Amino acid sequence: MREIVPRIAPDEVRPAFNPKPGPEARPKAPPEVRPKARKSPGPSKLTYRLSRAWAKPIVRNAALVYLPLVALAIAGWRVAADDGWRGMIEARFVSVVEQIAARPEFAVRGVSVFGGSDQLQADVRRALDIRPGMSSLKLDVEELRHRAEALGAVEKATVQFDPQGTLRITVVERIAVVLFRRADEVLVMLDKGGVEIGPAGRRADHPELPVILGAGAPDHVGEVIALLGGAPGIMPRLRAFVRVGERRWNLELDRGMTIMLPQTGAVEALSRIMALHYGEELLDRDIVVIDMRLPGRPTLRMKPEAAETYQIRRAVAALGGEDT
Amino acid sequence: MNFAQFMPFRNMRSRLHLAIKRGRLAVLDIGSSKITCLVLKLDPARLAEAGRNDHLGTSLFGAIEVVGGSTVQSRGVRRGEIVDMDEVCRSIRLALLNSEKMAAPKVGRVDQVIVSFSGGKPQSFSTTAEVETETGQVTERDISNVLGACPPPPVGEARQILHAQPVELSVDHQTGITDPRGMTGHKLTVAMHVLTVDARPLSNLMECIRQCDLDLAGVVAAPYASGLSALVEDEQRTGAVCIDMGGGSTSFSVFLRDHLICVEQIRYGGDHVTNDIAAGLLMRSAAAERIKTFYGGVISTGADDRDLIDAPRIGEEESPNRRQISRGMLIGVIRPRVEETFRLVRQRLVELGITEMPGCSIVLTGAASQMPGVDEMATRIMGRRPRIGRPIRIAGLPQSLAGPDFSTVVGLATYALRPHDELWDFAAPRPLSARGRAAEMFRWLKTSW
Repeated sequence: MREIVPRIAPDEVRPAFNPKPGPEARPKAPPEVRPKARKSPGPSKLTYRLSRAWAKPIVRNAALVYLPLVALAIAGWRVAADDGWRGMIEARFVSVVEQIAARPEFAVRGVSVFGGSDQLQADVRRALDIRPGMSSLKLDVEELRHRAEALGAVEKATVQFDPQGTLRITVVERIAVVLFRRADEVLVMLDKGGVEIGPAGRRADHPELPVILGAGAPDHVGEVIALLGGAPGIMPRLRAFVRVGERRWNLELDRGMTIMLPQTGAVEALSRIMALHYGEELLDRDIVVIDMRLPGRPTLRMKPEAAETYQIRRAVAALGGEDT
Repeated sequence: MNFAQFMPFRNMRSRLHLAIKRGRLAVLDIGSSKITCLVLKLDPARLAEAGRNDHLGTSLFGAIEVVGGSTVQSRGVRRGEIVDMDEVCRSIRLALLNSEKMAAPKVGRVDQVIVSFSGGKPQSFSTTAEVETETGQVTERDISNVLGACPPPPVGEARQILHAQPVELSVDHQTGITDPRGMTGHKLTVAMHVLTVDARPLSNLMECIRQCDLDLAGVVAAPYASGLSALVEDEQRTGAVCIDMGGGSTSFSVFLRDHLICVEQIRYGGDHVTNDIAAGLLMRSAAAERIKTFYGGVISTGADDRDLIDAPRIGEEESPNRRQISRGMLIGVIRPRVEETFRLVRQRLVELGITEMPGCSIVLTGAASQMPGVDEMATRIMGRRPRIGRPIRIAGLPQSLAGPDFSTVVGLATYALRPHDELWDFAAPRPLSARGRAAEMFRWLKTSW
């Protein structure tokens, strides 16, 4: 007897309705998108809670003030504590500053010096050592002024940086009125205040200036000028003013003549001598020393042979004789 | 009455005191068509001073300032009851945030809020009780006792007391006593007005407020609040009916001798008029609301037949040949519903016997009272000429919130200032146990010296 059971492999058994369609099944239509019910325009719960929390002063302050401050403090501390960071920031900062300083807007266009002789202006330029093109941000006009005034020949200097980029330096030059031979035999120029201007070189280069000598002489240049002003005629014969004992002047003239002036009334004493000179050619006589130190008692010291001649003449005159 | 059931109300009172101490409070009127929020700045010192000096509270209004206010469309509220909690919460949040934004320079955020409740089928009961005084002199204990002795009204299933106010205290049949403490007398009688509402919508409302992260500082029946602001004090004293014609319902509150004595609600309002127009003239609700607001009226005149109004049918709003109707036709649609509403109000008033009350004035307020001719219609039906009640002015109230449609929210603000004494403002009656005696003695010592 044959089996009538249908020979179907178990894997071929399929239910009448297959809930799991195969790949060949038609793609399902997308689910119908129903428009969402329109919500009221009110804020969502989260928005509401956030905005109400924001309305609390403590929350707002914390978020706007305290939290950023704390974060800033922590970040600053971290950066400051880390050498690498700090070095980098410093290098960056310096480079930025350099870049800004190097911009052509800040460059020095030129240097102009006003006042004083050409020589002095050249000296000032050399002393300040500013080349056009340097950054003006690095200039310190106060320091430049000090440097200019450090020059002996400069009495006063003003340094200005004008908006056009020019450095304007105005100097007032010191004028040499006397030469001073220092103790080390170096001849220097002094202005009327006795301030040293600079080396004078040789005496012959400055024939118009008197020479002064002696300790304390530079402090009394004014007296020298006054003396010369009172007796301009003495200048061709003058060799030097010598300060004696830091209190009075000797005038050394040529031919070995010395005029000793008193401590006070020196100008009058010299005028008196000059008057004598104009009247009686005092200075042309054979005199070694004219001593005016005691005002009431001017004294002349003659050379020995002159004294001898004088004695002879007096004797001859006394005898009533004639000169031989 | 059982004092234990009023614990939530006591908590609300303490929150209200907290809000007054902090000096900021929000009031929220949740109506069927709009939700209005005011942020109030209170001056606790002035409030306390006025409370001491001035029992009637006429000088109170300098102690309050409206610093923020906004009104938004109400969604998810029908007839004063919440039908979609999420939508209502969103609307409340929007109104509150807008008001807070406006108030931001003057007050910080507000946490306590007083809300109005305009649904829940309010029902008024009165209950009276009489006790012998313990010492021949009325003490606070006697007042507590007489309040406790009041028989609870037949509240009904799933209903809850919203207001319970002693309206009349009398000592030995002497009436009109405002404060009987210390008075001599043997019999203390109290008459109490109890207002009950459906418990479910009320708890929904409370849940909504809770979901908005707000503390409920009080729930006030909306018609009561409207009456507080729309009636002047003399009207409250001599007796007045304040008819609040809202969107979802029309309700009225009756005041006599400074106290609320009755609240009723009729479930017809301005929205029903709009629905009538929309259904009767085959229009969209928005278009119907628009023509009602702009051209609506209840008394037609001859000129109205010649005024033509755009009244597009549904679907032809944009078409050039829209339908036009005469204003008289619109009035013809509006009128029956308003008339019906007033008839129902009159019927309730007659049932309550209020029409017999001498000198009882009628005050119309609420948004629907702005429709031209409503007062005329009310005169015809009620037999008394009503007044359109605008809310009292409080400092800082924006002009846009000063119309008759905002009397409820302003009333909430005045309620916050000086709420009427409710049952839960009194101490619960306690048996005089040994400990109670000691406590009483201590209190006596404290109050005497």
